[in-house]
Amino acid sequence: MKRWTYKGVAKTLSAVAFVGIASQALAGDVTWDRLMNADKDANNWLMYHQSFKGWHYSGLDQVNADNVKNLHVAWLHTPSASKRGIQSFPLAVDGVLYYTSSSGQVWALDGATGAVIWRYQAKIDTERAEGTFYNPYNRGLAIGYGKVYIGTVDGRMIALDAKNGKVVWDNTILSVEKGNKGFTGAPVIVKDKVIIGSNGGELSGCCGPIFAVNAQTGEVAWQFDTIGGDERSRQSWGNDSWKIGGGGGWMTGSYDPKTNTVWWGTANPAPDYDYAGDNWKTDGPRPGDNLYSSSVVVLDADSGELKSYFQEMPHDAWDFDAAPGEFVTLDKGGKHYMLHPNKGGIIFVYNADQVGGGNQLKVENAYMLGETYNYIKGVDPKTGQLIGRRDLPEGKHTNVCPAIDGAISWNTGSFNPGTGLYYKIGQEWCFDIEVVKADRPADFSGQAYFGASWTATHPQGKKAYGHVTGRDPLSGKIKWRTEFKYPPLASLMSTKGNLVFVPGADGNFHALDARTGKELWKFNNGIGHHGGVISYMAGGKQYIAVVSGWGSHVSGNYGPLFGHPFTEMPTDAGQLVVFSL
Amino acid sequence: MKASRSKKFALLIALIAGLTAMSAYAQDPTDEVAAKIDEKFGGNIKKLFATRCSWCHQGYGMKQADGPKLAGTSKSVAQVMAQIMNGKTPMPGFKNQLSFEQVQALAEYIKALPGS
Repeated sequence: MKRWTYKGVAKTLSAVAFVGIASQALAGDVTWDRLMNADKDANNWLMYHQSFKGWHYSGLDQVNADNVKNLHVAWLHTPSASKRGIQSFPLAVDGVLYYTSSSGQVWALDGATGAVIWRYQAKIDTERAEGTFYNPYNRGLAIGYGKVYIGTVDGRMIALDAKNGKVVWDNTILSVEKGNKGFTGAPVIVKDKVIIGSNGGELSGCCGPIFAVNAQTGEVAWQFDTIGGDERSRQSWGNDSWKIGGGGGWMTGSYDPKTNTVWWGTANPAPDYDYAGDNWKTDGPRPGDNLYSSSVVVLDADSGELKSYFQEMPHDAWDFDAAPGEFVTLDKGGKHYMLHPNKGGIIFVYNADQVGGGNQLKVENAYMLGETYNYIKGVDPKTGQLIGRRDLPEGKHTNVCPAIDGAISWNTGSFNPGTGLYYKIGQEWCFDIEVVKADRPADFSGQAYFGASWTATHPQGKKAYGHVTGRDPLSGKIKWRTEFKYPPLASLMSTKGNLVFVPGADGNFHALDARTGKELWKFNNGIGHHGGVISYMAGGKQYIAVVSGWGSHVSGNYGPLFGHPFTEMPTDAGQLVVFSL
Repeated sequence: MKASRSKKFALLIALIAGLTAMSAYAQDPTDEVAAKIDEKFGGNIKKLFATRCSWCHQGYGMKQADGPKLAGTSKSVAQVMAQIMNGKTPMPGFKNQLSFEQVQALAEYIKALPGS
């Protein structure tokens, strides 16, 4: 006999699920085999990064460079929650499109018509969620084993039945005892587990964990603490500052089947900015390298054991996370590479074969994608070490570039195997900053913890701008470059149809020729974009789906920097816009 | 002769630019306001602001960014205090992070900022 418990009833009531009428498209099950072969499955978009190759590439070419001029809106969907826009990444399975919107809302829609199949609204612990600056973002979901998985801003993971949106399990994963708060990134399924990382780089908490939970039960299978989890990490934080060091892994990483490893980018240390300046190794609020903040960590997929790492920003003094979750797998000349962009505007190319022993990753190349930077003089292509650091001691500093928002944001680029080019957005802006001696908060307190005040500015002699480049991913050599008046913030997608889709900041959704960068088509969605874009097939037709909506720490600078149209752009609106021929 | 004249002109421009920059620092209105608040509350209001508020409110409250420009707010001190304590999505509440006196000092600092 089934016993009703208060907890069980509360969980049931917390889930307001709407299930639409029959005769809708029904998605087949997403098995591990399907996920492993997602790169060959052009009709669907089964995971955040499209496949474990991380290419954000669609193998569809019904829409192509010759006919893209005929692309038009097929249908729209307006979610009832879009505070701070929609930052989600849609997924498509057998004609059904799934996506999330703000505050833990999940939608399943008919991919051909937009008809609602079901909707789910998580009940969020607002007291906990509103203790952070990351509320109410939700950047996407994972699908597999008949379930849809999301993380929430109050530290839970929820599995829904993919057919009807009913809760299968709903578990609190992240404890607040050490000052951690919640999840904003999309999970990724790896074998029998679902992986997700926490946020918290600006909070005086610890330890920014990455979790693997059992996909069937939601029980935690392993946990990797991005800071303070092992002796090497603790030794790299003077004065036990790891206890207030922030960390985290807030964007969706990836999996490399060749070495059975999870690759994840980690967040910045707290406090943002360090009054010690050049003396950061011995003085200041967090003396030392601050491992494994602003790093790439490579974890055994079954145990969570640290196999390898590389700290892209040793003692990050600029809030240039390694948290972008984009890991692009490339094989060339018998070598296996992993490409990873860092917020500081650097593309790191790692040797993905040489992982193990807890050692540092081997850097095969590192190159600057940013153009107007002065926080460093450059990066050593042989070692990945920063050259000529500009640390920022207590006091005022003008025209530091890029600004805190970085030359690369958390959204993804795209690799196109047809052209052999890697497409990526760069953002060029700066700020004036005053660094202060922040008081040390209580250990594990999870409080806001910054060390500066700043104002966004333009690069010297030029207005802030953005660019999309098509380049050789390993060498960084540019084939084409297209400049944008307003730096785009969303993800890119390239297709077999020789197209690169660029969701723009001002609302324009662009299609560029993947071979030349020439604009072939654009459509004004009426509001800026800073989420995902995918392509899929439904009923024999190719669709392009993009989320729109504006509002975040980064996009908040557009009004002061550029004025119109950003001063009038709402931050509580957004849609899923789907195009076809 | 011509080169020398242009050198002098460049020096003059540099001098004017330098004086303008110095005067901009000297006239930073947040310093004047902060001095009065610090005298009343005995803390360091700009440090407190930088530590807790700067993520969203730029230029010590003088500039709009993700969060609004705070200078010139039409809210009363009590209303500003209520918002700091309780937040308003996406602004987090700080009632568990700041003392009442710190909240009051921040609110009075914000209200004292010159703004139109």
